Amino acid sequence: MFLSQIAYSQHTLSGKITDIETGESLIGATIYNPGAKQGTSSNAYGFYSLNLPVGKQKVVFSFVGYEPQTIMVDLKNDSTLNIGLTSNNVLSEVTVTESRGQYFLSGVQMGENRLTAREIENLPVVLGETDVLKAIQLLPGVNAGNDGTAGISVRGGSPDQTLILLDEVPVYNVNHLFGYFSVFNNDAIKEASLIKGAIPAQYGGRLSSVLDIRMKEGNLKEHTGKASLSTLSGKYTIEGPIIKGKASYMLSGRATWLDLPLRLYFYLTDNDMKVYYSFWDLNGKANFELSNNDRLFVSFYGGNDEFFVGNEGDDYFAGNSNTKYQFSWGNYTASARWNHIFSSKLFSNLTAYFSRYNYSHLYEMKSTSDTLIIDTYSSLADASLKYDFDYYPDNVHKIKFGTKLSYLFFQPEKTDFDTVTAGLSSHYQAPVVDLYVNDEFLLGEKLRVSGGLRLSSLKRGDEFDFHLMPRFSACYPLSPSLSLKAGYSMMVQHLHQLTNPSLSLPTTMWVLSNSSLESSSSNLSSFGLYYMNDKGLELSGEAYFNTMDKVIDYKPGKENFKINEEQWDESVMVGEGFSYGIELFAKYRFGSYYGQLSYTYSRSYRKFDELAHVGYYPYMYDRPHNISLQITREFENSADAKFNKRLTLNFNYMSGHLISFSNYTIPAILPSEFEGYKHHISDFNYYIPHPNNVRLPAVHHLDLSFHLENKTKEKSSWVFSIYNIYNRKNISFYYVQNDQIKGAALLPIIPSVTWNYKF
Amino acid sequence: MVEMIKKLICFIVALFMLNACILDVEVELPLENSIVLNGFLVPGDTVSVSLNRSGASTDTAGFEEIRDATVTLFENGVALGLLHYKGNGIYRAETVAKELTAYKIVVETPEGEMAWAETTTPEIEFGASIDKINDLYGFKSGNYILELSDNPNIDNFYWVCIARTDSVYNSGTTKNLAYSLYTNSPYIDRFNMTYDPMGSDGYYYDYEMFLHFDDRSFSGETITIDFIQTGAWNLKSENVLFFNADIHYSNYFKSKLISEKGGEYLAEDMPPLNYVPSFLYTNVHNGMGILGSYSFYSRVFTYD
Repeated sequence: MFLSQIAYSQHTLSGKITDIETGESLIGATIYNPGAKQGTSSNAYGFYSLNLPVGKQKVVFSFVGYEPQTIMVDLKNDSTLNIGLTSNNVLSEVTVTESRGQYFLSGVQMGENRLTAREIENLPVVLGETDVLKAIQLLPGVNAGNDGTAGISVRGGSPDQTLILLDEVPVYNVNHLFGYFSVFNNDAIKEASLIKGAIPAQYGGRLSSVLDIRMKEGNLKEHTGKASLSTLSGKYTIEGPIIKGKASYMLSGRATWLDLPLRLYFYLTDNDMKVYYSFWDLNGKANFELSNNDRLFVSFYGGNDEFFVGNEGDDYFAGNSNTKYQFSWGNYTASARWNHIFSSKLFSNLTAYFSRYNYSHLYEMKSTSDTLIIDTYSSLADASLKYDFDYYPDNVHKIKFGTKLSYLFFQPEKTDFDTVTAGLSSHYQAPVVDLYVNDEFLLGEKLRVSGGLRLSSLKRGDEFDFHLMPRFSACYPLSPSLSLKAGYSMMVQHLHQLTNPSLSLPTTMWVLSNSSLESSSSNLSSFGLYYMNDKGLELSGEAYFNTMDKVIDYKPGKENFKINEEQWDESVMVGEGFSYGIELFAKYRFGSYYGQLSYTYSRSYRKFDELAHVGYYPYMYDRPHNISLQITREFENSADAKFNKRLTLNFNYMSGHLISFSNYTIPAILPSEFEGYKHHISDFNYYIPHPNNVRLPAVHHLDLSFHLENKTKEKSSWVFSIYNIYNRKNISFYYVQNDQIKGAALLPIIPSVTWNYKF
Repeated sequence: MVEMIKKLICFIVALFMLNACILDVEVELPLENSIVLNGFLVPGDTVSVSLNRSGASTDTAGFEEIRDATVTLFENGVALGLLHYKGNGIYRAETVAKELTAYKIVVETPEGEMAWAETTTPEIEFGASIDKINDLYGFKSGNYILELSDNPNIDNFYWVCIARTDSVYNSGTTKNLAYSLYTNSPYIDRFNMTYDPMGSDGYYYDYEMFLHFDDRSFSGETITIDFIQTGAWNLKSENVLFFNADIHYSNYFKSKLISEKGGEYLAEDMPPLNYVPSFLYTNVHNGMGILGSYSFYSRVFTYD
């Protein structure tokens, strides 16, 4: 009776929250009714739904970096209210990690960090190239791969254990320029969200974390654009209405000019040898408001890298060969999404997407009489259809449910010769079906709980494998300024990336679980304490423990000697692992200064039957200590000053990379039956006690950036950066020569300048 | 002017290339002076092991012998007595190893170090036979047929190789382990395989020196494996060696061969950047080395 009275006396207020200037949806904006002390937040498309008591109600709409807006609504029946918020351009949005205010304390999701494109722009960068993945690396619990590269390892997991989504489409290779930059053009990005603890049920397919990147939707109000020139590349972005207020587009392209000086050099020196490198990418998106309840989004991404070495001679038999080596890789994604609002309580999103990643090495040697072509390639394609629903039955429950059907095709590394094709089979494919449901609800007055289940099924051989994955998280406020959160998620991963630990090239091969290789699984538990006072000080501490089963790696030696693709699964070993750690984070604003500091202690271990005598050993991404500090100062500007000035300092320290190395030997033994026979087996052995037995020196660097941001809209802005001020020789990759480890420090002190022009 | 521009461009490119700074990396890796226990027990032979100390990577000429250790032999958990020092780091027992018997060797040094390892010997007769169905022709030695009746009660690990003798003009004979064995058999572990798209006499899988397989996929069954060796110039004789090893021998030998392959890369002036060293198996607790066991069957084929 009590419940029916509540239901009878309440109506639903729903709508969309957007940026008033551009019409872009605001994700995670807060809608709060102080009278009833009830609130909610907008979903990934800006949609919200809140039940309110009948009559006049005060509703506050807020979003960090925007002016809050308070509206009095007189609710007589279910109503729609679309709200546009105005950006306030204050320093609080210039943060590396922002916590969405109260959400930091009372949000049930833990281990989540969100970054806007503007926050990413604020950080010092290498060669002037703003990069979302390098900004993500500064978050607690996240480590870089090799120095300067864009690869990320979250909580001791391998890079392939992070699901990276661009507009809900998985991106399988995130590397430009051999991994030194990511494929994500910051000018095309609206925001990125990293979830590394208690992953909700709507996400699946990876063991450790989710990075959800959203592209800009396109300005619905006016045509705008931005051109950027950095030391490395040029970018051009345009966006605007197709039909004002109803449909818009965004197009952003980027290309490097790294190859121009190389081409010019080889042209001027008339050198037979040619070395080029180029990359490009293109992001596009359009959205159409078909009706008040229907919206269609179409987006695509394409990008490619190409490295070329050629030597133009006459005849290789005469020692003057005409050879070329071409190494290229790229991603292509396309998606169409249809938002439909069934009612003020039910929102849906239907997505169809296609994502493809491929790489190839082409080696060609020509003579006057003969041509030898060796082409090695690999590819992965993912075609999926998914249907997601957000259901808000009342203010207590927030239910998400949906399904996804994927078809995965992959071609393991394959080598074709001009006359003979190696290998017998070439393509592998498998369907994957996922179902999920997740409910976020209040238990009692204080305890907020999110519980969910995800079912994932992969066809392995002739049978389907079923995996049921529970997800859970809870938040309990201990006081108005302190809360306790805990979470658990079971994850399953069907796709695996085989990585060479010495050099993380973009050619790391994706493989799919099959009849002989089961899917990997993990059990991630975490809990944390969160504190925030009214002066803006935020403190948090999270601890986590993750166990993994059926993780794969190359069998010993197989990194060096790959065999043809029909036996790719014979080249891998299956084992288990665990990781644990703590993450401490502090953020504070004092006057015109803003700073944040994070420290992570994390360990990660693996064990494989093939190395049973070793037991658990440190995984290649085991990097115990990670310290990250950012301090920003916004300078006071006079009213007639042309530029807003901002100085940001960044310091990052990471324990060194682990490698396998031996500096001692032991005598070998052979059967006595071999005595007297010549063979190629030595009488001593290099001895390595376990994989990853040596830690390279720690990686650290101090960087500065100075922003001159034009106050007017249609003017140029400048960013001056210095990366690695004290010229620390951090090792990007290593090799062993004459029993000596040689390290290549690719990123010494690097000053750079970026020019942006907005119109 | 053009020269100036060229020099300027060269300077800029060189400056860019200088970013790639190569440096020697010093890491903290203490040199371990550990006990190295090595021994293969063969049923029917006396038990013998060697004891040495590990050495620096540059010091491969000889290893320090451990002369004054107390080495105790256990058979199925019962102490049989001590192994006695015979020089060159060798310790030998009076006991002859039996088949299908568990042995443990415990080493104690006067400094108080203790290391130990265990192995179980395989059966002496293990149901193997080797025959040849073709004669020598061209560079091929003919097709060998290996037949094996597996004992389902024991986990067996098998290794096959050919010790060959070649006649050399004016200089007698040379003796080598055959380098290349071809087979299409599905039982063979492919760790040392390369795929040969051209094939050799209808065989496409080329194994370096050894055919290695275990009985997991044919436990208790009788199987045949046909194979050839190539490069049969001036063959005088071939001794086909068929080892039946315990798991420790097998793991050790496989890891050693993989490691050896990596050593070829390291020997190059500029090893490939993606080279990853592999790991040598050991079953010696508190030390290094291997204690394994094997029995073997062999058959010699001669050519006049």
